Amino acid sequence: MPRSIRDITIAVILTSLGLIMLFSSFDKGQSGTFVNLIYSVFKPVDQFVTFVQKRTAGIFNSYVWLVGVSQENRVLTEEVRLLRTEIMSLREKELENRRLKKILDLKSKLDFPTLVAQIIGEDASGLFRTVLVNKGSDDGVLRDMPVTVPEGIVGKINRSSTVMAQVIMITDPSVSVDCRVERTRERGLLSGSYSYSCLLQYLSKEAQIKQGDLVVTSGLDGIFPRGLAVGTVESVRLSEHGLFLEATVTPTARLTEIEEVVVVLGTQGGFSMESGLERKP
Amino acid sequence: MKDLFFCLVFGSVSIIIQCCVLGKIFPMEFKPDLTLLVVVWVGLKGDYVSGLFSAFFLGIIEDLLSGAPLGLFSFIYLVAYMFSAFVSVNFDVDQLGLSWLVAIVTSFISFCLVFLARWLGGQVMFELPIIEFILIKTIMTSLCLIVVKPLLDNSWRGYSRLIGAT
Repeated sequence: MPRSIRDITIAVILTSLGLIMLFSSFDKGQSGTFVNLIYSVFKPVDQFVTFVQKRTAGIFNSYVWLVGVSQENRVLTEEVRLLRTEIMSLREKELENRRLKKILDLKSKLDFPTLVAQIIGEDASGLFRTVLVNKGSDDGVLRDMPVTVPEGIVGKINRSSTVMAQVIMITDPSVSVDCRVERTRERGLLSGSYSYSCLLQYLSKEAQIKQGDLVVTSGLDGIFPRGLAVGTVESVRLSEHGLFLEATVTPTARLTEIEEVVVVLGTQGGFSMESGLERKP
Repeated sequence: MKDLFFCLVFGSVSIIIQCCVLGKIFPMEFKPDLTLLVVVWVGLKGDYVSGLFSAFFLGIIEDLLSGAPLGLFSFIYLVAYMFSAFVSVNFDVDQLGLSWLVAIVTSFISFCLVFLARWLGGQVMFELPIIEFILIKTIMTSLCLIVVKPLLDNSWRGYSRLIGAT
């Protein structure tokens, strides 16, 4: 076969394969053998790089600050460096301790089985709002399970392999959460908007919503349990067509700073989702 | 095969860096797509068939480690690769300026395709001005070519000497 025809054939086959996979995978949580294999290869590397990065960050910063210190003060500086490193390490441990305490508190408050997972990577492309966590289907983590932190919900499981899973955050435009405004009990649909805030839509025009109101999950979407904090209302305006109100909501969880998350090990049917259970005050 | 191995190793390293390191340096949404630069570099320099396979497999890995539907990045990287390969056949690619131009064009097209796919995949809202966002990300990605291209050129020379690849 002439080389040019072979090259074109391979290009067409691979492009078609890519397109077929693209159009056949929009609504599926891929977790086949190939996905598991890729995740199995990347999990230890991701974990290792994250581990080394965390361990060396403090030492590296201290070292950089100490370059150029005069000879006379070397001993003292060395001591200061060691003490600083120790303080940094202790501070880091203290912060970790606080975070874990909060997570333990949250675990005891939730009525569902939960699992703590560590974030080991971000979205590779930066074009989607996802993070990778170090727990997978071997630990009971499955697609669409809610993911939260003590401050509020983070998102849901988008893909799960045996060893790790991908969490899609509420700020991603493809995620929608059925929510209520805690004070007025008004229901709306919260969607990500790609920025660091979300949009609460389809609120009644008569709704008395104001800045600072807390938005919580309604439990009616079949994914998130009822009553989990989502965010606070930043601003309220009339929607484009003038039929509803819509509000900009800032997530209560600091989604760019979280290091550990709690996965709620329950999916559709696992939570009470009957409408009308919430009573207006 | 030797070319493919080199491309996959460097591509995988770039994906790991994107997942674990770049988010600490750049704002998450503007972090450069180093893997795309590897694909472009392969398109400009490498063997055609190895490049196609590496673009495809790197795209699959990128799909799995990002929120993209499986197949999106493999398709985008194949398009980027074929464009780069076309330019390398028809123009003198040894000039940094031309490589840069290819990186800018492929980045722009790639990011546009991602948003187009998201828009086609469902009614989603983007509160950011998308064109500005794409332009900033394109500039960030193409600027990284200053570092990535010499690094890949030198590594490729070393690798070629080591194992005798062409």
